[in-house]
Amino acid sequence: MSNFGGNDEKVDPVLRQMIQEEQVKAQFQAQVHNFTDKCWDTCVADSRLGNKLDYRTEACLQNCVERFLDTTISVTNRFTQLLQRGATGGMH
Amino acid sequence: MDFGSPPAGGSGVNRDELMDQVKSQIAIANAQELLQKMSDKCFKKCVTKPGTSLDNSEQKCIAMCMDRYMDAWNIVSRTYSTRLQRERGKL
Repeated sequence: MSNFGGNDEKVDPVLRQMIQEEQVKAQFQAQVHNFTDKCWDTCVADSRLGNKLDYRTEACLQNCVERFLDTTISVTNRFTQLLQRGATGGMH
Repeated sequence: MDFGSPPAGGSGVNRDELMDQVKSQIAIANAQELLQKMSDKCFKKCVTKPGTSLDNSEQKCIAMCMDRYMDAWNIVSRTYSTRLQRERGKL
C-alpha cells in the first residue's frame, strides 16, 4: 500500500474511496474466515455432521463470535489501563 | 500496480476497470482462503485414517462437511455484521 502514502494529492479521490471500501469489505471477510476457523473447532469439529447445522450448533457459533469479540474488547480495555498505569506509575 | 498515477485522459473507464480488477482479486483471495480452510477442517474431520484412496464414505463426509462449513461461515458472517452494526450504534 506504499503508493497510498507518498503522493496523496495525485490519487483520484473517488478511486481512493472505492478502494478503501473494498479494503473494509476484505478485512471483514478475513475476520469471518478467522472466526469461522476458531468457532468451527469449538462448536462443530467434535459433533456429528448432519444435513444442516442444528439449532444448538448455530447458537454455539453465534455465542462463540460474540464472546470472542467481548474478549477482544475486554483485553483491549484492560491493556489500555495497564499502559496508562505504566505511563504514570511505571510498569512492572 | 501503480495506484499513484492518475488515469490517462481522466476518463472513468480506467477507474472502473481498475476497480473490477481489485474486486476480482479480492474475490479470488477470498475463495482461496475458504478452500484452504475447508480442506483443512474436512480432512481432519473425515479422513482420520488415510487409506490408499478416499473411499465412498469419506467422499460423502467431505461433501457434507463442506456444506456445513459454508453454513457456519454464513452464520458467523451474519453474527459479526450484526454485532458491528450494534457497536456502531453505541458510538
